[in-house]
Amino acid sequence: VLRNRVITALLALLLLVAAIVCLGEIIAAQLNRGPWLLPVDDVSTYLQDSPWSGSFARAVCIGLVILGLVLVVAGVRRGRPRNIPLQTDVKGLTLQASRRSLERVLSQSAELQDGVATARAKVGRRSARVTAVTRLGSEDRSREISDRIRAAVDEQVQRLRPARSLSTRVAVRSGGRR
Amino acid sequence: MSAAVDRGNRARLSLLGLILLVLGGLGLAAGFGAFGSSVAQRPVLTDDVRTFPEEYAWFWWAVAAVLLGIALLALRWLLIQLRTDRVTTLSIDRSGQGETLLRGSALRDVVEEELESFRGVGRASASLRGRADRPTCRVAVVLDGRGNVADVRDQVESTTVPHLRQALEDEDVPVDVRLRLAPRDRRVVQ
Repeated sequence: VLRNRVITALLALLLLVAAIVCLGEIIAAQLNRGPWLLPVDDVSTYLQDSPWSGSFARAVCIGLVILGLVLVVAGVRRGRPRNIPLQTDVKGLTLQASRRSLERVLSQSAELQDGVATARAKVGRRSARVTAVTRLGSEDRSREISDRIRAAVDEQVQRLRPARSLSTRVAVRSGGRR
Repeated sequence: MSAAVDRGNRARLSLLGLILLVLGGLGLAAGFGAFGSSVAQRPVLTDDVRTFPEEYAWFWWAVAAVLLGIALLALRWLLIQLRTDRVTTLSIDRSGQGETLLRGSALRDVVEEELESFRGVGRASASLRGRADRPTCRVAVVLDGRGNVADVRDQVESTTVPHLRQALEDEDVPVDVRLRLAPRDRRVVQ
């Protein structure tokens, strides 16, 4: 959300400046004055000598396509939510938990399990994914550790009562600190 | 930021992106001969295009009008990004001859004091958002990890929300409560 806000603000500023500069050039030309800020005559001469198949035109067009793709992806991509909606029976009340804080809580729950060195949780709209690294010497217990992490994470999620159920996925890797 | 501004930004970015994609794609297609080799060899600025404004005096004024429109639109987009949807003062009673105004800061003080007295709540704040004639009360609650999330929720639902609505003299005012769960360096004991 913030990323889109920054991109939109920068684009709006760019458009505003470009439109004002071009407007100034048109007014200066209509008043028979010389170019205001841009070397209009040089640009015009250059464009008259540059074919569509030339490297300049192609580079500009490739730039436009790349920028266009970036903007479309930024506009279409929803990303992960900032807040996770929670269940409530009170009319007119929207209850939410910050996604990042929920991730921290789930990471903690996983890290508190015996044999876990570090854990990291990522929460999306529909799922919570926990990646844990086991302590040295706990490699052979990864299945058991995974089950315990899943149970702990499920318990935390259920306690929070999200409006939409979150499926839990746990991945355990071996080789953390002792 | 309000959801409406977010949706608007997504639409603006997508639209601008599509326009640039189409323009760039057409230019590349022309350069690679998709419209014939004569077009590919043709300069970007042809003599016909260059001399067109000389034949039609209105052309540059039309372009200037379009640019002015673009500049105003861009300025509006920019202002939308900078605008906040916070409501500072709210009229809660217009009956009779007078008008009762409620400052957002007064509401914040009351909510903060009440919420921070709950076990498990570290910090709390409240603000009025949206339109003055149809505000939404946003409450941010930072938990400290000492209490039970379920208990804090119950207290918010059964105590804070009714008190807020009572203070605003509106039983239907939408309330948006955002919980920030215990930070990483504290162990959650529930």
